[in-house]
Amino acid sequence: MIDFIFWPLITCFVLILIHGYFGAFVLRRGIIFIDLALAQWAALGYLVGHWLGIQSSASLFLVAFFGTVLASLMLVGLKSMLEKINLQEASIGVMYIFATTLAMVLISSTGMEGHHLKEMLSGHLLFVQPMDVISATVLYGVIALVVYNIHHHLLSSQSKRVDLIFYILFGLVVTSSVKMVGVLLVFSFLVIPLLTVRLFTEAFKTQLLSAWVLGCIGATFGVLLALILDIPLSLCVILAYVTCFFSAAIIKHLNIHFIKNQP
Amino acid sequence: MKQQLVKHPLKYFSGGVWLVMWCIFGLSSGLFGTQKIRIVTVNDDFSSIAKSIGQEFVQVDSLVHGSKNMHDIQPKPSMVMVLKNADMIIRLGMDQDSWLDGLIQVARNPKLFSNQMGYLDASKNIRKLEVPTHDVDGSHGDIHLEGNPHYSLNPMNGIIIADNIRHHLVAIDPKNKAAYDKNFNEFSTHISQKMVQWKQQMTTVQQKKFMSYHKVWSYFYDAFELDNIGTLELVPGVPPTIKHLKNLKDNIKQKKLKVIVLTANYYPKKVGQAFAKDTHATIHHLYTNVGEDGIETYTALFDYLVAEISK
Repeated sequence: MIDFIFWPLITCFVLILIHGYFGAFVLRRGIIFIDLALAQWAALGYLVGHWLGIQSSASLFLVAFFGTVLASLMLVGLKSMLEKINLQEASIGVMYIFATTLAMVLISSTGMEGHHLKEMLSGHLLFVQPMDVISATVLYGVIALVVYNIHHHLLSSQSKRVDLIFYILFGLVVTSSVKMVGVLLVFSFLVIPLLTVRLFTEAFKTQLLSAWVLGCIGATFGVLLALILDIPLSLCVILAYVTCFFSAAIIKHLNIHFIKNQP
Repeated sequence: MKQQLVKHPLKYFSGGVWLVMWCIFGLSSGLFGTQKIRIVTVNDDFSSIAKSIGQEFVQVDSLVHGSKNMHDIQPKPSMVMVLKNADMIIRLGMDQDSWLDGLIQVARNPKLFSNQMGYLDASKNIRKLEVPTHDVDGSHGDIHLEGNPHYSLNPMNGIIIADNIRHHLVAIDPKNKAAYDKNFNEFSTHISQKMVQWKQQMTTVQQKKFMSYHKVWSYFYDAFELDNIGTLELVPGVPPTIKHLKNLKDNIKQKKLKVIVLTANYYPKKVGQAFAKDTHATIHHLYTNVGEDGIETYTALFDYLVAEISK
């Protein structure tokens, strides 16, 4: 039993560490759907790679990553024109639709099978291989090092250069994580723990640390629950996170009432 | 030094317990040496055939029940546990059940590795249809590289699958070879006899032209010598295009063809119905696998299909 949930759990922990960090920025900048858009561009890149007949997985990864770089460049270009946060979010939505449509057009006009598109977006937590996790961890380690050194720029600067660096680093993360565990779970890692913690604190450091802890505990519960209920692991992890989120919201709600009603 | 040599009495005790347990285990497996061979299959078609060949010597479990698109299966934790304890896996192969590769990897059961007799790709020795003959390069995508994977819809392929199963069972459990051979011969005779009857029933629709939503029925057409005039999908997995549907309709109307449309239960019913209405065709929305209502065995599947289609 333990042996086949060991790697999925490790995967969750590693992904929570890196996505928790990026999630904090995504929430701050109000660009929640950026991961869906970038993942779709990575999937498009992956599809183009297949179409060109590329076999090696490293080269496919590079082509997929190139897709996200392209999207990042477009997003940075658009940002100067559509600066308001809700307009930014809308342009991210457009980028998502754009990539999905291009992928569908490519599939229907070349006779490729649609499952390639799905493959990139629907990884499977149960099937992660030790080698995948280890190489992803190395990649995230390098990204973490870069991020550690430019953290203050990311936090305060609004320049185009910083934006582009942020998008590209995040694209790199998403390209690897979405293929490993699927789009739904990645989105949950990115947003739900952070959002839960945000109900209670605004401080960046506290937010990040609590989100990491909460994320790890939630993932462990989710995986154990999946074994008991016998449903796919990733779905249970997401359910565990959502449960955390809503319980926290209820606690917060009660708290507010309690404080109000005190004489 | 001396103290290290003296064992704690409890260690002797636990050693004793192990000894007794091993004895009981050894005795029981010696006495009741008929430990059943645990076969796991990807669907109920294969479990039905495996039961026919293995009978009292096997215990068969299926990972997926009923008529489903085998491409879209969400693996569950319990599937790993089932595979961990299996002696043999029977899979569809031909890229159709690629989710099983992950399961086998995670289960780490050496009996099921692809070079072992516990691993059976049931598509072995099947004469595959629609294998691309031209050089396939990137520009064609990798559509149907290995051919059409719906081979179990030709009952005669059932005999080939059964033969594969017999071969592997004999290798795993040689002492019951005679029984497996006998069961195989019975199964093979039964299907061949039934085939005559099914063909007889199908003569009522032999003159009609057949269409389907997806290329699910190619082996069925092949088995009963039916005329296939195309699929509603132009590209597998992509919804039908307007132009393609129009071409199909025009062709049918021009030549005044009498058409029967077959759609598998896991493909959209509405598209087929709308098309059939426009072209005055008959439509059958059908199960394609064992395990649905009342379809308990591989032969019952064809009893059902033939009865429905020849209506």
